[in-house]
Amino acid sequence: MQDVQLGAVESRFADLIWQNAPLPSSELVKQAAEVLSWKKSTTYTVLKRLCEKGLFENDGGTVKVLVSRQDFYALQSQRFIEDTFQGSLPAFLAAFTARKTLSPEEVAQLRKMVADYGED
Amino acid sequence: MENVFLQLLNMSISAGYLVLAILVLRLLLQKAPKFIRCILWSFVGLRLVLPISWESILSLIPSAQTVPPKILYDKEPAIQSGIPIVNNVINPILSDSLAPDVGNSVNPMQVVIILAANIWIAGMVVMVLYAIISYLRLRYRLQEAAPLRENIWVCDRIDSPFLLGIFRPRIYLPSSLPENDASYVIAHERAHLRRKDNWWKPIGFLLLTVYWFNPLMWIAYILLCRDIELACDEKVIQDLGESSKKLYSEALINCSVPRKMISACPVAFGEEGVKGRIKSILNYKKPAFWIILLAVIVCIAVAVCFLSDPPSEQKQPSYIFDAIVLEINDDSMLVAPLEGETETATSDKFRIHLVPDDVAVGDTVRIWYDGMIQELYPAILPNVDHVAIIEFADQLANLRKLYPEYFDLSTSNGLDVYVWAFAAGSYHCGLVSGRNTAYSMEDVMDLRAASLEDMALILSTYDIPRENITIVLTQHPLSSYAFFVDEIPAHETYITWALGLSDGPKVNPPDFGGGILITHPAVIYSKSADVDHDGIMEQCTLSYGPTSGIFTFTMSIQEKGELEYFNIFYSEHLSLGLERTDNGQLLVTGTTQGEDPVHHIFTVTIQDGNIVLTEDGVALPYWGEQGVESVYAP
Repeated sequence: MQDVQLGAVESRFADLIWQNAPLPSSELVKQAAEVLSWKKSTTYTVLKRLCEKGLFENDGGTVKVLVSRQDFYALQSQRFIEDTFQGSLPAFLAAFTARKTLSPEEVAQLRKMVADYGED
Repeated sequence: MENVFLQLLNMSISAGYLVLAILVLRLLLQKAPKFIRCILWSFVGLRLVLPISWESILSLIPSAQTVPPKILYDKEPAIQSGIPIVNNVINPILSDSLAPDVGNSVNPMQVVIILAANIWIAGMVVMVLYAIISYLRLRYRLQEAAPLRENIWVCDRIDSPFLLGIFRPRIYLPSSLPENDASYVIAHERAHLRRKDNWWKPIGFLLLTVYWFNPLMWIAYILLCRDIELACDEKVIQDLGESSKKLYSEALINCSVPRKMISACPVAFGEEGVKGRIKSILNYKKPAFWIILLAVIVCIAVAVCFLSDPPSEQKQPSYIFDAIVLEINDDSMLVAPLEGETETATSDKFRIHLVPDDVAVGDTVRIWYDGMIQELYPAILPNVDHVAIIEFADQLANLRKLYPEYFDLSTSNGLDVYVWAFAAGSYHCGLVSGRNTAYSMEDVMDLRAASLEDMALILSTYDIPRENITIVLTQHPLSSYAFFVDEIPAHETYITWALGLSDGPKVNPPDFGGGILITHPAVIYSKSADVDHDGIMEQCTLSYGPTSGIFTFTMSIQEKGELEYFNIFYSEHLSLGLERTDNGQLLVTGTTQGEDPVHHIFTVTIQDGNIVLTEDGVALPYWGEQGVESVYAP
């Protein structure tokens, strides 16, 4: 559980459950559709994921809370976790990507360039 | 399919030249606004989409048809790259290794190109699959996105912000995007939206799918994407002003650094081009008017020089033949070439996909095509330029039988019509291919006489400009009538009209002022040959002899206008003729009259200054005074 991180959207979804649990899954679907514009399948997919992470449980159609919101955020670690869906964006969307991230020296250089700008 | 592939190949080669030019120009246009670069890339897109373009002498494209379609069938496959060095290197290799073998039914060039076309299609399929799969994977990730406001959505499962959607575009932001940077990111993506980049990139990728085989197209696409980003950066700075530069740049840097905190936000908004983009942003100044003007001029110049095609080489001479229509379908017709046409050597039936209006089965048509024949049965002509229905088809057929030597002559040097008059008001003519020197008298005498009307019809079968047809008034040595010098213009005017070479109203034949020039016995036949083997052609003429009661005939041999030999022979009454064999031997032929005609053939030789006619070792007897001093000699 220490390894669980929630993205902003997932958190929003989790909040829906924390705010309204226990609630029938069909009700959750309706709320997710309203607030997040999610399809039914999406709701179930994410719910299943969160259940596997031990936060909630889908007991015969009723969604129940296993770890409360306070407990969850208290147990949050600051460790960075790679997103499960790594992968560069398709070429027809993004410019050519080389995923070359900047080194600290390069970052410092660039920041200096920006900071100095306009001071001549 | 191969033809489509070849056409696309040529289009991509043309576009390739444009890409090279743009690569050079980008170095010069560094100070210009970045959207100019995108305009230049749009020219590449145009080039790739338009199969043909207008022709201009200002075009800098070496060749719009580097790989001509006829390469598939040509006996000597060759490319026309427009660059002599390239041609000279590649074409010999093609002729040596890929020229079609007459014996084989398989044309190696065709095999190569079909193979290439298949590889091309396979590559396209791979590209399309990649695009579809990537798109579906992305949609899968995006199903967890939630709306933020307007058309902006947030998603946990993406690393970088982007614009997605052609008809209902949405801006997707990763949920890990820092607050401060969000407004700049949104401004950037909105700029993409205003520039319609959500259309241009997919279109560009679509073109890349088709033209994937050309590496210059990949370079163009990659640079297009970079230039789009630069143009968007410029637009944002333009809108938000000088003061936004620092914060915008910082947003860019932030997104380039993998955060240790929530999730990284590298790439897309902050990718490899970051350094270049930041430099470009910081250096951005509202461009001066003259720079914009210069850039516009450059664009126009590029459009004129690279969007146009070079003027096409002198049209290949058309192949023409006449044929009878056997069958007419909606989109094709079946024709049979007329007897005597060279096309009959390939097939007796051809299918053509050009059907003129009002054509009916049984009509005679004239077909202009580029020489390519697909040897199936019936044979197919894939590139027919023009089909016309012929009137006077029957007359032409007869003329073809009568004067086969006047049809299908080479017109590369024009045509010469030799015209002479045998009697007052009676013109005769013969047709030969143009030569730089005039035909000699002997050659003219070999021409068989056709009437002006016949010649007009014969000339109508040729597809050459009128100015390439020369009328040569000639004094036929056997004619009694002369063209007097001051009458020549009148003759020429009439003849030009009579041959159908002038558009004017009917012209009347002029009066013949010439009188009888030469008195000589009636000529039976005349032929040129080198009888005495002195290397100079002589003119040999058979005429009736001076006697009545017994049959005599004379043979006069003139060299360079001077009578050289003259002999009188006697025999039974013969119908005479003169022949010249392929190796130049002159023969006199004679056929007895009446029932059971006997054919005689005499060889003509010169012995001791006399003409000797020999058959089976027996010489024909002489009569009367022989030799050029004879009283009977002309």
